[in-house]
Amino acid sequence: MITMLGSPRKCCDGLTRRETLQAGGLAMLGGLFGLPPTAAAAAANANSQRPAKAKSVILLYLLGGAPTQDMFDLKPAAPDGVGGEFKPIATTAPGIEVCELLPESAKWMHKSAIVRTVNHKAGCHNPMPSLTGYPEPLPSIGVVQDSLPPSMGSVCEFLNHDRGDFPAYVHMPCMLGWGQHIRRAGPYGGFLGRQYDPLFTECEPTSDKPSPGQYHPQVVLGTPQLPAAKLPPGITLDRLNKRRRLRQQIDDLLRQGEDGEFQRAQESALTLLTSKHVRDAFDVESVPADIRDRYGRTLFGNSALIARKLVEQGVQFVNVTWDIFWTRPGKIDGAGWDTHQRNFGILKETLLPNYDQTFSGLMEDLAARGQLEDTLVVVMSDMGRTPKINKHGGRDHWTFCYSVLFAGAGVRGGTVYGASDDQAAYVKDKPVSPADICATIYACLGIDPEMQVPDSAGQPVRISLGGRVINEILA
Amino acid sequence: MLRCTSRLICGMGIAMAISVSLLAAEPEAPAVEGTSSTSAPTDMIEQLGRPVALHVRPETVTLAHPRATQQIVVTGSYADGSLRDLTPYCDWQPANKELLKISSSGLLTGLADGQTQLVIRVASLDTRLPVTVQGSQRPVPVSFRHEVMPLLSSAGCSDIRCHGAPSGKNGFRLSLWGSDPDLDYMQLTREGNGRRTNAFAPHDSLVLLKALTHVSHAGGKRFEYNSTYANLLRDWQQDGLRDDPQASGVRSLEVFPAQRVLHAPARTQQLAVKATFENGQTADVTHRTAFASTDLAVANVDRTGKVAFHRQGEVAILCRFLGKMESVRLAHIAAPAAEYQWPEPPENNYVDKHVFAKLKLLHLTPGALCDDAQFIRRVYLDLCGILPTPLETRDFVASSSPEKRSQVIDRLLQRPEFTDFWTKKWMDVLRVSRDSIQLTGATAYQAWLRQQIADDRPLTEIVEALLTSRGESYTDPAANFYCVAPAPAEVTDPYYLQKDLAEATAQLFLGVRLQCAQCHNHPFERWTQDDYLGLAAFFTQVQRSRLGKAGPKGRPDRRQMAIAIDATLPEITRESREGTVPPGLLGQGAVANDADVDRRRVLATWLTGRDNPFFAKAVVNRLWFHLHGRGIVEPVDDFRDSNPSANDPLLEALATDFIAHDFKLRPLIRAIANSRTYQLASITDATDRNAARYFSHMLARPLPAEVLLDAICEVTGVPENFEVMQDYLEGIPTEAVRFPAGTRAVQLPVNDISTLINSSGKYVRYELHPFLRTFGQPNRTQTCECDREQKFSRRQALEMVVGPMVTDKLAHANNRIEQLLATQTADADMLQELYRRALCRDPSPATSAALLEYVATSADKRQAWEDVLWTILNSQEFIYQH
Repeated sequence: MITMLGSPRKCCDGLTRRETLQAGGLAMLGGLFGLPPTAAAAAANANSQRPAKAKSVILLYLLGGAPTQDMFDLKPAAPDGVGGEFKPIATTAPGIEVCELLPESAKWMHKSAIVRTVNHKAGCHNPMPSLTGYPEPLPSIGVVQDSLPPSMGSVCEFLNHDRGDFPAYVHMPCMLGWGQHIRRAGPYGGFLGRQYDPLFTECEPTSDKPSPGQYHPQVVLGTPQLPAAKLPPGITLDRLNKRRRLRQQIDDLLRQGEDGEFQRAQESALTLLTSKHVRDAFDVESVPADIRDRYGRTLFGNSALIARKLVEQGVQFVNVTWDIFWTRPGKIDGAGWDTHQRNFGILKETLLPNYDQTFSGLMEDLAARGQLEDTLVVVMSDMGRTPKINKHGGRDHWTFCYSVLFAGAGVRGGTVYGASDDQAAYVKDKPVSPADICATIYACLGIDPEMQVPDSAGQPVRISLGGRVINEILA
Repeated sequence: MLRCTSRLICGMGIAMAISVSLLAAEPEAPAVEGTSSTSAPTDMIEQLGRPVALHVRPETVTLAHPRATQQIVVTGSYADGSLRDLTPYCDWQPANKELLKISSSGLLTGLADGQTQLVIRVASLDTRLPVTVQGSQRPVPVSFRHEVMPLLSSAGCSDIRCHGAPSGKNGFRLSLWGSDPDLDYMQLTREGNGRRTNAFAPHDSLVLLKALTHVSHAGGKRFEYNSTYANLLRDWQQDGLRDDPQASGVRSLEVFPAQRVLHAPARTQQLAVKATFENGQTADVTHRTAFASTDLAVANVDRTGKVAFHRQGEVAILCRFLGKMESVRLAHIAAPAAEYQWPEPPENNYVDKHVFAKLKLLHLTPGALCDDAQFIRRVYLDLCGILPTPLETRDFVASSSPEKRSQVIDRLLQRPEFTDFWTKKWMDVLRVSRDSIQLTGATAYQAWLRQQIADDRPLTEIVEALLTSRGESYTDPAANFYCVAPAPAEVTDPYYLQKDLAEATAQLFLGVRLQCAQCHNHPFERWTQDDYLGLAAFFTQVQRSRLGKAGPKGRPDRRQMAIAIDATLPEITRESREGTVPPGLLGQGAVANDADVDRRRVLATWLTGRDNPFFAKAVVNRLWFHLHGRGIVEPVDDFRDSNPSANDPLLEALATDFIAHDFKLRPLIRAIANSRTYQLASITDATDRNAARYFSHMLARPLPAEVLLDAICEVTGVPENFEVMQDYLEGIPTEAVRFPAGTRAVQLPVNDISTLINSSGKYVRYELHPFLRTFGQPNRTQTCECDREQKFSRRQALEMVVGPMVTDKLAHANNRIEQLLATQTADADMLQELYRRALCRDPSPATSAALLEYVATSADKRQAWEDVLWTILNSQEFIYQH
């Protein structure tokens, strides 16, 4: 298990990250408080016995607050105006039922675990708890503050020291919130630094026809692409390679070995632009048609397919977000999972069938390629939705109880953790915080959730922000 | 193992989350147990060599209390002039073993009254120390304040992670580092159903059972049974759990040695701490002091006060006893002294004197002087944020005047670009943004600040004008200092404005981060909640109001603001205690509170006084940071005992010079830029950065975003056209304000120049210029220099390699390439011109040959030149300041 693995990158004070973590971060803590360094180091290494179960994680992120009581935690016995319109069906895991609109996902329940009691008090549409574990409300969810804790993917990138052509952390299909002209907090490097922000892809969302209204979303089509995947006009791959070679000719007085911070960054950028591996991973056209159909040829489906290909190439953390596109041309989807009106209509017409297709397609493809052995798939949302159905047939914001699904590598299949009350309104048994979810994901990846990293003030902070690993759902 | 999960989130900007596991079984410090003598590790003695003389501190000892101890420190002086700590290797022999016992680490304890001598032998030398023991049999009850309280600190009980956390641990709460003995006494004797202590059966008390882990203790074993710690806790309980509030406080601490450099093979140093109490008495308190090292990667310190270095470097050791803290500086040099030779570089001024003294002390070697081409590029970029023109470079390099560097500096200090650039640096931390004060306010504020800097007005006057400002933000520009503080959407803390202003003032002008003290006494430092609220209380009379009609609901309120003084506004109160908080100055406590006076003036007068201990140092450190890429204290606005400066005398000397020149920026910048230190060659190799900490070289670093953009515009000959949407209150803005052609990024009044409007017109947001944001331009929401991130990583590299900014300027129809081609410039001259513009030098012959051949053999000449210029712009030499 990785506990103190840092990259050999240097910090501003000349320590490598590894040294900073070991000595600067941890030991500094001991130092300030008079604990000997061995004690501080041992504190950090405690609990570090678990081996990595998953090499990578694909996070299917349902932005807007998925009504998980209509997906994974149905309450058919709940009174009218609460329970919803859908019926539960049996799954491959005895005793576990899911929504009737998820028949394909139901076939993977023996490989999945559902946590039914996730809750937080960090406010609505705040992606910070789910992506970082940070439990506090933000002054504004549309302001990205560099002092906030890092996302899970950024921690992976921070620890990633031997990468080839790929970064460790990719976020698809676009910068979070781009579809509504908001830069939503959450998926960033935070106090670790902007260099650990994800590689955000870009997309041009389209649909078959325009949306008649905000709560009549269309299926969003499109394919995520690398930023600068389209080289600027006049710059061909050939010309870029020429320039790349020309770079070696120039007498740069500051040039150091290939490991200098500048050289590494430039090399990594050029590799992204010119690497066949990277281009191949983003090339969905060459994937056999039946497999593409299995994922669904939607933006979400294509993103999941690329995620599978990225994971194959060793990318450790891939975020596939179901984003909302309302202020972009075409006004395709004004709701996403934020179903304030027509909750059941939207779920039935677009959300659940498409989700079901992509999730099961991803699981099938991962299994067929042997990648399910070392890939963890997590399905989660920034929050849940109200038990009470409002007068528009919608469900409003709710952070007090919702479900998160784990599947694949490291997961004890066919398990349910925690229980909600009979309206799926509040936690009845075993509450789970978003930080616990993060800790559990870290544990699957073999990263010690107790590991400490220095924040912007140089103070040590645990990556899981106090979260506890849910061992009960792990194999 | 149990988990402590206290989480402290401190203030804006600094989210400090501490949640730490404590662990069991810290080995008890061996010192206090000891027997009378021990065999010295002879191999170490041999390595250390033969001293010329021994010095024993103290020179005589009187132990006048039954539990008095004295830490002896034995120092050897060597032929080469160095000093080494020999304490751990001494053979200690009391002449009368009935009277004394001494531990192997040199801690002396009396056994019976009388006079004797302690014979100390080490490295074939010996010496004698007269010792008097008095009152050893006198029954003296254990003092809660003088003995138990320090114990709770040095055993770690009142640590921030343990019972010293604001909410305590497991129901048991102590004051942090023993700051509140009354609370701790109540906690130990009354709270927890009184089970924590037991006067009848101390061994059954929870404090002992827990600390010895006879019952489960999340914090682990803190000390051994029968150790001094355990015995004290037991005896205090047996003596009747008495408090002694009349016990004399500590006046001062004295730590020996105050400063020392340990040359290899020496790598340890025993410390001794002497306390002087308010009543004039003194005592050795070494074994009651809580020690901490500021950099455990370099050295650690054990409970007995023995410092051990792991590697070369410098640390401060913080020594805490009864609420007082003193720190000592120790350094270790790994290479043998004989191998080091000081190159004796000439000194240009006092800056060099202090920098070189430190480098010499630490056996570091300064770099060579940078060449003229590097100097002129560096000094233009640092002072004015611009590149020199090829003509300026040529003239400078060609000049044979020995004064040419200082002449360039003098010329640059008078240029309008200097004023632009340094105005901008202040605006970044003064939070000047459209979001807070609109374009109108920002423009007025910029013009005012610019005028102050153009006039070289003393910084004290500028700060005083800011702090005492009032009026309307568009017409009274200094009042914007108060307008930029963000108002929360929902006010949960009635004093949010006062607290924000206190934090901003402390960070900007005092170099102190008070954020943590908002919720609790600062975990590492001297600042308390009283200091924090006291400073905030200077702003209680500040009345902010919005002018004009409010815009539509649900949008940010961006109306103009007015600042007024209203003496009837309520005072700050505390949650925990009765009464209001009077205004108080940092380190000085409450000041007289006169209702008729604008309190801010009292603050401003103190802050800008010539004897203010913070202001001048905070400012010179910031100026140094801008010129060297690193503060003498780093982070630049974080002065505290546990964050020692790289060079105290340098900081002092700069501050003195700054005050002597009436707090004006230009004289100080002139002094720094004229120093040889500023003109040393640069390094990029991060392994040497430890040395760069002490300014042995100039640290190469990416150019600030705006300067880089301006440089790209200059080299490519294509200026950037900046446009800002008009201010608005209702509806959405329709018209743009276009800045005059040739406006540089450094001159923009705001950073959030892009306006984003969503299609329903409901949201309007301001964003940074995409290129500038990528290169780390701050969005000016914080008073911290750290808001600007000057890093070069993949994202920045992509922007330079294929980003629209560089691409468009290279392809621009009338750019510099086109102009040069149009005038039929010879290829070699053209290459020289591009090199001189971008890098202020000529290409090497090999590069020149290769690039010219590339151009000559390319089918499309214009494209080939674009590729060449792309390569120059994508060199580290161009993108970095060096």
